[in-house]
Amino acid sequence: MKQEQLIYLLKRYADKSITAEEMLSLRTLLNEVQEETLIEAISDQWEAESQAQEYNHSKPADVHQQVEAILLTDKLSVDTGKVRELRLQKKNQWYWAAAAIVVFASVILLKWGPASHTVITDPHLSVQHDIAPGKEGAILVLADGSEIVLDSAGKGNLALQGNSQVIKLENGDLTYVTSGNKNNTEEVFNTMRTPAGNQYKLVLEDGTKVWLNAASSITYPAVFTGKERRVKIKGEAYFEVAKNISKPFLIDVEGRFDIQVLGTAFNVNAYPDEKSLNTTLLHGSVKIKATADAGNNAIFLKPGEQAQVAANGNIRIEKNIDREKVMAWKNGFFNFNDADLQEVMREVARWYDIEVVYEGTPPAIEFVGKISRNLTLSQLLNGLKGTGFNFKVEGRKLIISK
Amino acid sequence: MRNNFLHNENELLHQIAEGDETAFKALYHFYYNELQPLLNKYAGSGVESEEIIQETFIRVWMNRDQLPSLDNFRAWLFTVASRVYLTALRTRINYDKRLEGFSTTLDPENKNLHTPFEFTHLQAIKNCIADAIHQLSPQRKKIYELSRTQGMSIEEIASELSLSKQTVKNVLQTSIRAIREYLNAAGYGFLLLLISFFKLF
Repeated sequence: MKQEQLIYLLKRYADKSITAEEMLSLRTLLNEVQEETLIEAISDQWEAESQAQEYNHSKPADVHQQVEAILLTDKLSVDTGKVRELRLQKKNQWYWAAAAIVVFASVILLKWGPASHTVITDPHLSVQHDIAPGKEGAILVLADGSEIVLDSAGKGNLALQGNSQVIKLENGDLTYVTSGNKNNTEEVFNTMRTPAGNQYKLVLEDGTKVWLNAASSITYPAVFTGKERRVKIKGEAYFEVAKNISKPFLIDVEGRFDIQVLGTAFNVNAYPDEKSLNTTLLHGSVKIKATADAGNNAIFLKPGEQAQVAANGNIRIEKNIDREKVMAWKNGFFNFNDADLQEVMREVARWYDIEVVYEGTPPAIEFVGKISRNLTLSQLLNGLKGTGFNFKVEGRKLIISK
Repeated sequence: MRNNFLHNENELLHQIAEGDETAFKALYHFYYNELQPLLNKYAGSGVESEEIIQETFIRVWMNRDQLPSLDNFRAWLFTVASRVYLTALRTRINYDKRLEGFSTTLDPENKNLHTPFEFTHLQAIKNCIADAIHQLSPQRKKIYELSRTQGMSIEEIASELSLSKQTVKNVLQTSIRAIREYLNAAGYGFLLLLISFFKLF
């Protein structure tokens, strides 16, 4: 990469004089050059420029306010002040509606301690009691049917399943550690279930990592003693399967289809209320086969592809997949690109553990943009406000009208 | 030759490592004046460049215990700022690209629309720091709060809790490291900053 070329393009982009052709070059550079190389090029340039430039004297008063805001960041009794401007935009099929939405929630007080709650005072917002976002948490169902609630409290050894010890790690993850001979024992099944408003990560006995989204479950043996590694899932999960060529990893999705995994990372979205059950492959290789299909019509996915299993069992391959959108939940975001209102609200309902009700026909709105999953419900709704629908919150019910 | 430098930088970095807010303010004031014209040039004046500076200094503050061990703070700071800028730029470019899909006659005025970057990204980092502190063990959290919220010095905390100064110091260091690890696990890459810096220089 030529440093001068990059810098030239960045400046052209910044002063909005960039041509379409130059934009293409800039995108190519940003996609193809290593991040560290780009950063080094930019910071070197900036250092050189800063030495040449006149020292800029800004008003101490402004600077004082800015630095105070930074220092507030890690104070416990944090007052986040006004919610920053949020601009989320509505998509229209024919033309781009220019309105960017700028929203301020006036005062947000965050209090810590056992009675931790958030108070929102915004006269425009018909939300009395704000609803907190989802959190880390799940219910572990042991082989004997007993249940353990997994939340931020309690760490260490939880139970012995067969000859595997269930351990909750310092970082909150659940893991299985086996002692002794694992080949002569029978498989003992555990189920991990996340209620709406919870997500969880666990590490299976073979080292496979599973991230479970809200309102989902996975059933798996505490120790994989058979010839295959078989698990069952419902809802949405992201897998990073540990490689073991002699023991294939098989996932039974809702009894609807099977995924055979050959050491790989992928996401399965199989919520019953979604249009299709989607398996998206990030890297590696997986084979998908409808459970009802007695024949040999398995489909192989390539990285970046998504298999969509329709209600009638037909499998469609979508090659043009927005990976960032698929993986947004695991990375702590809602990604609303190309999503319609109902799709957005299904995800919101699962994360905030609320019910969404429509008064009349649901408004036909599409969105672009992404929003953090760390926000409270009213912060999120504030961001969506003004995109062409009205809402009110009653208890844990969100009522949407035109 | 540069006509401006911070003569007491080393001393300031040591004070900041101990949690000294006044020292941090002095450092901020100096480097804000250096970064601001650059970001105005590269990210446009307005909200976006201010947000980039703010995030950069949140990263400086949350790495405060490491600052004295840097060979060249200035170079490191510029690397951090470049990284934050690049993230914002990518978000912006992807966003522009999406907008193009909706209209071929995009009003140039609309080019000034901001991406959701500022809100989601910076606010999410702040929320994540709050969560990280919340997750500290009760003893660590208490000491961290006495230091940050109450503004007590290490000596004051030590005498208040009948602990040795060294213990308090260790707890504060472990806590800030735990906060960074939490942020890192959440995908905000607070640890990577230092690692990649050492690799580069």
